[in-house]
Amino acid sequence: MADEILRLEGLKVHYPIRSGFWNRVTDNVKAVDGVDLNLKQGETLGLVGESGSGKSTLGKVIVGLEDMTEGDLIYQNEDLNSAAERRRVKYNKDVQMIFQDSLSSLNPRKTIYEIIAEPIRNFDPMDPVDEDKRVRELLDIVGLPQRTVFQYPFQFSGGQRQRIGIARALATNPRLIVADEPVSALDLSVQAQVLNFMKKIQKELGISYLFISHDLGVVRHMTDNIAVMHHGRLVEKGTREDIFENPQHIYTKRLLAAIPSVNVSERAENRARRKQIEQEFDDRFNEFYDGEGMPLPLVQLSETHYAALPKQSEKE
Amino acid sequence: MVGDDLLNANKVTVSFLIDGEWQTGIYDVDLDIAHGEVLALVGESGSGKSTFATSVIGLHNPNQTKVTGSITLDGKELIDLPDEEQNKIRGEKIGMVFQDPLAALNPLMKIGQQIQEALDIHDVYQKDQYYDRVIELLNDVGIVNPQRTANQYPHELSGGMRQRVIIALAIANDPDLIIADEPTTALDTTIQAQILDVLLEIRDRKDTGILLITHDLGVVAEVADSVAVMYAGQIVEKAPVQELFENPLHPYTRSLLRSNPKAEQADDELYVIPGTVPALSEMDHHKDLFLQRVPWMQDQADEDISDDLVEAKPQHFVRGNAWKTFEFQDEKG
Repeated sequence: MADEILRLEGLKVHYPIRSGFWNRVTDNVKAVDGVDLNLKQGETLGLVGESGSGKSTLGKVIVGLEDMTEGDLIYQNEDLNSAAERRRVKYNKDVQMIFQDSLSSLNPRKTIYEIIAEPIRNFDPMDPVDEDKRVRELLDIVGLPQRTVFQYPFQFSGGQRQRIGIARALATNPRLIVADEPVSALDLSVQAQVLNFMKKIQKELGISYLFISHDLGVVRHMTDNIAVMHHGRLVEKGTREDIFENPQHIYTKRLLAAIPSVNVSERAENRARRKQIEQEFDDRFNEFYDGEGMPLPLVQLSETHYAALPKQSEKE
Repeated sequence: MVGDDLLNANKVTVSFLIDGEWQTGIYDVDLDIAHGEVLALVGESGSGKSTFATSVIGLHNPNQTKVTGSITLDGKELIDLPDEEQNKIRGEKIGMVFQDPLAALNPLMKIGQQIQEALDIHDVYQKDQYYDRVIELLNDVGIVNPQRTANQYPHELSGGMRQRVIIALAIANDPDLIIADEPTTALDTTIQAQILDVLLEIRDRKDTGILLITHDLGVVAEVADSVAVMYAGQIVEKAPVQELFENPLHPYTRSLLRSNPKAEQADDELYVIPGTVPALSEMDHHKDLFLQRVPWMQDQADEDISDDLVEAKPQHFVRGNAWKTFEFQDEKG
């Protein structure tokens, strides 16, 4: 596949807990605790896990909304560890984000024009005529009518607002978009629209996505590769087939078993299997997690497939 | 498992006073739930599912909302009940589970106190039984250490635990019917599965009827006995769960099922339903409103159709005539 665009090495985000005398740092919340990931040009990488697993924090570190405690962020072979370096290589222009809640992520007092023009003014100032042309072009790309350009966010439906968020993310011609639960607030029919649309612009513009979601059905539909996160670390990563057809870690198995199936005739079996896997997860937790409840280091299983397995099952 | 009728809704119509005019949000809804039955009410946001639930429990604002028709619970009429009687029904006969568990709990009260308060309002249990009942309830919803949880505040609990507490509150006085409005939408998939298990266990043990409101077809397929599909304030299709998934008839049901991402077609484009639900003021409930969103069936969109559903197959009801001829465009030969 194509060139690597982003690599994370040993990324850690720890939040200090202060207490006691002098308000000293007594402990850390390890939101992200040593994650290695890479993303190729034009690829969609799915990042899945339950709430509190650290997946959103990881996304925020990538777009620069959150600082890392330790680790390296390597963008197109350049190690970017300070804000100054990020500015130098136009990283902030190249990497954009789509948020889950389209209403709270759009300024209610700004028109759609101002919302979409803001990143252009930040990164790529142009004269008003060109700017107007560019905003209208973006509205076209996301399929919103031109007459909406001076309306306010509350005048749109959820699906339309999500597209405004996408238009804003596209305004700077980004190379990578971090999409944090972009469709989980949407109805099924609107969700289909937004997902199709994200795939379409990816094909046309060659954008990479880091697609963060807890909905495995959607992730299966959207991604090429998947990383599964639990307790701030990766427990498994591989191609879509590796994860869905051949899951190795008990947590991945448990996530997969919990996806509701639309196959009504098999629901008794599905339920029994899910219960059995939940039981297995509880029984074997100590094998797969260390004394502090943290996942073990990843072990390579095949060219593409990694999982945090205990030592003895490596031989299997 | 499914027994006699528990809830009967008959020709329920709900109108709202908007800008001085009465506009119809729900039109002519018939629904029955039996003891021990899980009925799923599905539809997009704005289709009126939650409005229907609030009219059953009388939580609507009487100055701006008009509910007509009949809703009976074990033969007792619920519409236009006086407040005191309404309060007795809520909690004692009907338990409610809402989507956002944090908003439904009092942040300043310990879990145990909140459940005791629910017991105190109704006279089902004696005062000296309260503590035991609280522990029993927390146990029933699968909380591992009920003594400890009873002594905690809502913010100390995870989302899944809070939703279990909400369910414990809903079943505190052994209601006959539970109305669960998107009970798992805010939760992770693994927690969702556990919460649904809890609801089903309660149903199995107490023969409770459950009205499950959701937009998640996966959840419906996992737990419902029967399904009613709602569009623009009307029921467009009603059938036992397996029949509905294997043999959907109404164009809306078929479109919804088709836009759900499926494992087999992971790389295909998803099916998109064009257009949006019409605004309240534009809803003409004598027509098949979904046909506005089917560009190739415009000839039928203006046709007046009967208010009654047709029994297309035994137990399988569908609205209008469009289902007889509806085809997706790519299926047309």
